[in-house]
Amino acid sequence: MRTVGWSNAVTFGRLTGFNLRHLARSPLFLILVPAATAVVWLTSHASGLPTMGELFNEAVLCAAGVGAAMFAVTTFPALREVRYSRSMALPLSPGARLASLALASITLTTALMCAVLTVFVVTAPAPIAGTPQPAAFVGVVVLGWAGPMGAVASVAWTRSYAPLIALTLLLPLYLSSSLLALGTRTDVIVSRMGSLLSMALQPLPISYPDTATTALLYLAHAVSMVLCAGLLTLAARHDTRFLRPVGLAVTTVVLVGMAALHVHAQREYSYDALSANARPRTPSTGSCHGLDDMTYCPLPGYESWVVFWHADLEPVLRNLPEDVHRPTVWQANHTLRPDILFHPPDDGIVLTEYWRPDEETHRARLRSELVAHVLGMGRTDDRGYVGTGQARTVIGAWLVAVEGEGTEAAEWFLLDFAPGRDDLRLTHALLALPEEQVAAVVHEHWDVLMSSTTDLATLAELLGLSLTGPEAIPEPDWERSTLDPGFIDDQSTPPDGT
Amino acid sequence: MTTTADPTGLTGGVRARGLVRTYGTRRALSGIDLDLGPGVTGLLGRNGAGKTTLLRCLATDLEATLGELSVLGLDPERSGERTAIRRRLGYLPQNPSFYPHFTAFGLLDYMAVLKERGGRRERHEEVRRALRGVDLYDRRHTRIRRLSGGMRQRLGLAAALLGDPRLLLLDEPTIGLDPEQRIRFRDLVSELAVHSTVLLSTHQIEDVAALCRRVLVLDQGRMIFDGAPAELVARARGRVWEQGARPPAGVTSWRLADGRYRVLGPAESDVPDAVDRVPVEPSLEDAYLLLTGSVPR
Repeated sequence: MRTVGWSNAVTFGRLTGFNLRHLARSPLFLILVPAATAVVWLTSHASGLPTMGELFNEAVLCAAGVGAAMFAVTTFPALREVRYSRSMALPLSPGARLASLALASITLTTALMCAVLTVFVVTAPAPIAGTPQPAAFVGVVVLGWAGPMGAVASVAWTRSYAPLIALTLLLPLYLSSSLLALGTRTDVIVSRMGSLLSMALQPLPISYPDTATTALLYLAHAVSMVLCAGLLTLAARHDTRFLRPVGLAVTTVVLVGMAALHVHAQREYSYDALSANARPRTPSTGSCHGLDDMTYCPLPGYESWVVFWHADLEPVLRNLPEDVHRPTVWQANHTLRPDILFHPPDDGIVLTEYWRPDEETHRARLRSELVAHVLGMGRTDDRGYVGTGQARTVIGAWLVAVEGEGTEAAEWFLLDFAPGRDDLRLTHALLALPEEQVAAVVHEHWDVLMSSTTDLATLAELLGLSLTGPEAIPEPDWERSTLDPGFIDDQSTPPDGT
Repeated sequence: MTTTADPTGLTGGVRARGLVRTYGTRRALSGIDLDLGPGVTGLLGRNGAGKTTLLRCLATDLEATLGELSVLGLDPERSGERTAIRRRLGYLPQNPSFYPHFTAFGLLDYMAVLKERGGRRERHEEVRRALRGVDLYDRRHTRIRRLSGGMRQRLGLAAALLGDPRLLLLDEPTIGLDPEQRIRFRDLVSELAVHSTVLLSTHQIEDVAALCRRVLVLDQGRMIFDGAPAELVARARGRVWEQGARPPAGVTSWRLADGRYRVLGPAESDVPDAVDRVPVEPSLEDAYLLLTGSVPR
């Protein structure tokens, strides 16, 4: 029967082509797919410096949107095969016809997802930073297949439109419950449903599987989901005696495997697990980049960001005496450099991959990290350090905001060190002076000014300013400040040098 | 075993020996022996006589419980051969339910793909031809859910006729067709029957009378007649009358347009005497009713 086998293969191929054309021309497809794509497009966070993590999130959103649309689109022809074509004595078996439909539907889903992602990559304003993990992206595409495969499986079991109707009703119910059920017991159910959906889309407790292992785990999760749908479709057949129990048994095994994968991922990659496993180590700077006197160690794929970091730090660097030790700038995240992230090296500052060079808050934070480090004030996220009344606190605020960044960046810096009214007043006064004048004093009196015992009056005097008396510098312009005077008064405590 | 030559290499016709099909403890077919060759064969029988079961077995939609069956020279129990049979088979099931979201063209295109009708252009040409054949070409872009019952029946017929089938199995094909369409249907089937085997299951005896050279009558799963329509009619000769007086209860009769009664009886002597009783030439319908025991024996 080799001829019949070949003939069946040809018919299968032609039927798949037929299904492909009919799916792509179905009114539901023509409405839902552009709608889903538009939702993905509108909810995407367009960024000037896109990352692989963003591309991955975009892909996951796309998988959810396109997968849901294809679930609806595939339900109708699936019902055609399950309910309407059974009595027609057609040459291909119902199973083969369903398989052909599933193949056509996942081909279309793949093409749509690839198109959306290609548009994202092609229209990206800059090269996408980060480590591409093909397995992770293949995993997302496979995850999108769960939509059409789920439609085939659910229709094979119910032989009706019930799954589509249920999904259509559940979505607005879920959205409205999210708002209406707050604080009630229903809220818990709604929240669990949301968690299940999130877990299906992103089973790992990290935003982007950027290592080969995590990418493979993600792929395994996606393949398992699609496999479950396929096995459930097989198990829905009632014309053979053994397929149903075998199909259901294997599905159970795959589901158990998925649960085990989830537990393993939580154990290995949760924030708590990664921080507990991280060890203080002296990192190698072999792959780091030197620029002027600075050393930058970006994560793989983020090399293009070094120039942005350096451009941000340059105003600070040029106002530092030459003999001041420059720290190494490390970029780290939970999976690629957990040791550095959780145990920052003494001579380095650490920024995560979320610190974006195109966002003002992150740029100010980077400068703050550098300034706090060179001034010996510890890391800005080490809360509790009180720098009130110290000259170096004000110098730090000035350094952070020296190049036309306004008072906002300076105030953000001050906020980490419990500033008082005088700190703020003097900072504003320094920023009003010419840069060269302040820079000259900083260079000349660096050692004195860096001491935790040097107070504001000393700094003011060096600059020819006064905090008291008739020549006293004015109060901060609270109208223009981002800080509240009451908050500042609560914060300020006498300097203790700690 | 039939031996009709076929350019595809398949042998035409149907051969069944001792065919039995049971549903639980009920026998729907009880030892059917059958040889079918080219031409139209009518299949008659009361509701539940086993006609649809026989057609489904021949269409490979249902497996026989016992017996031997060969369709187009192939064994339907073997998967590969079953597929080959289905490619050369035209089958119109009773009350076919088509996917309502298909257009008329879409359904036939789908069927033509499955019947492996060549490339896309050739296939579409054949679909158009089939639609013209049942006078549905103008409705080719109409979704099936918007077609009337008669149009759906014609569409089913067009689907069965696709691909020049070597064996055509039609279960109640003319239900819902208007007289004009029925004549068109007869014409189509007659033309096809020149080189194909057609089995037509129906309650429309005039279709059988008009189309069939051979008639099979099933009753309670058994074949009670297999012969020419004229033979069946001959059996009824002398058992059909018309009379003015209403016959007594228990005698099959019906009132005619002129007010007289047509009476079917097992024998002249068994029917109570009527003054104006006139023997008439039996129709195929009279003969069928007498055969299936719709009248007292």
